[in-house]
Amino acid sequence: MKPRLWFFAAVLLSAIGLIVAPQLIVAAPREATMGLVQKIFYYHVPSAWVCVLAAFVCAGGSAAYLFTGSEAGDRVAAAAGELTVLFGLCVLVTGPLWARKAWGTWWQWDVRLTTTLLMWMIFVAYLFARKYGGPGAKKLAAGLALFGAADVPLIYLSVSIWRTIHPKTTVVKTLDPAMQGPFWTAFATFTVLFFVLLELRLSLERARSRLDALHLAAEDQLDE
Amino acid sequence: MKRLLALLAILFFLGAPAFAAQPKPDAEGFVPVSGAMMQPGETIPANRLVAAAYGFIFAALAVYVASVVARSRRVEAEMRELQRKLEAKNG
Repeated sequence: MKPRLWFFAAVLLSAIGLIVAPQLIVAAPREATMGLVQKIFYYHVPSAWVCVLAAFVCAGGSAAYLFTGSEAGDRVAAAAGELTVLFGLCVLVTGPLWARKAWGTWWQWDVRLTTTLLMWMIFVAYLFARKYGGPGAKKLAAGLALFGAADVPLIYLSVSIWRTIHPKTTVVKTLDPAMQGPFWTAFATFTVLFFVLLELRLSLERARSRLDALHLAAEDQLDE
Repeated sequence: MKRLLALLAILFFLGAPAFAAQPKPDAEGFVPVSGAMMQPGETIPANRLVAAAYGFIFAALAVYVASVVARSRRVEAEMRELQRKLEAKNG
């Protein structure tokens, strides 16, 4: 398989972003109430964004597999499912580190936090179902992915519907201009990084498909 | 008198669950802070938390990329082995 030009451009772009963004974050002003710990925000929010993006991509691929039997859709879903768990873990680890200083506690059973944990656990179950579920598990896992993605709107709206200690979504819109540069740089970097990692993981899925096909061919030939 | 005792007994049995459900006086409300309640974590400096957060993200990404590369190599090695067997079989 020939590596595509866009992939190398995306790798380069994300590498530049991962070098530039931390420098901008260091130079960004400290928040008046929370101080230094607020700087976790610059990677916490992009991680959360990529996590939900991956969840939607996984659900899209799963829907394609469930309703049309698309193997390519299943491969995309498998790759995106892992990225949902990876970036979800980043969110669930960086959030409490921020909360410990800002709220005085590592964890609260707040609606935003609980629904995020729930979504992450659904996608962990998705990966387990795929790996250990045996025959027919792909369809079961695809159904799980749809349920996991259905939790995303609830996560987003939770801070507006219920009383919660988590900052509201409007915090990004009202961000100080000096904080917007680092934030959007990190946001763009994580978005590009998502597509790089998705392509990397997809190439593994494609190789596995070729290996399965080769196994089938080999069984026929070696049995003769 | 018997009726009165019976009425009191009924009231007691009916009222008991309601009394039992009442919160204990010290379960809610404001509690004055004592030395033992001060959490040692409150002294964690913010720079350590920020470093831990960024460190974790970079470490997680590095471990994930390494895991994908290792899995890809395993699949490629298996593919080469299978092709070698097929070529040996076909002469």
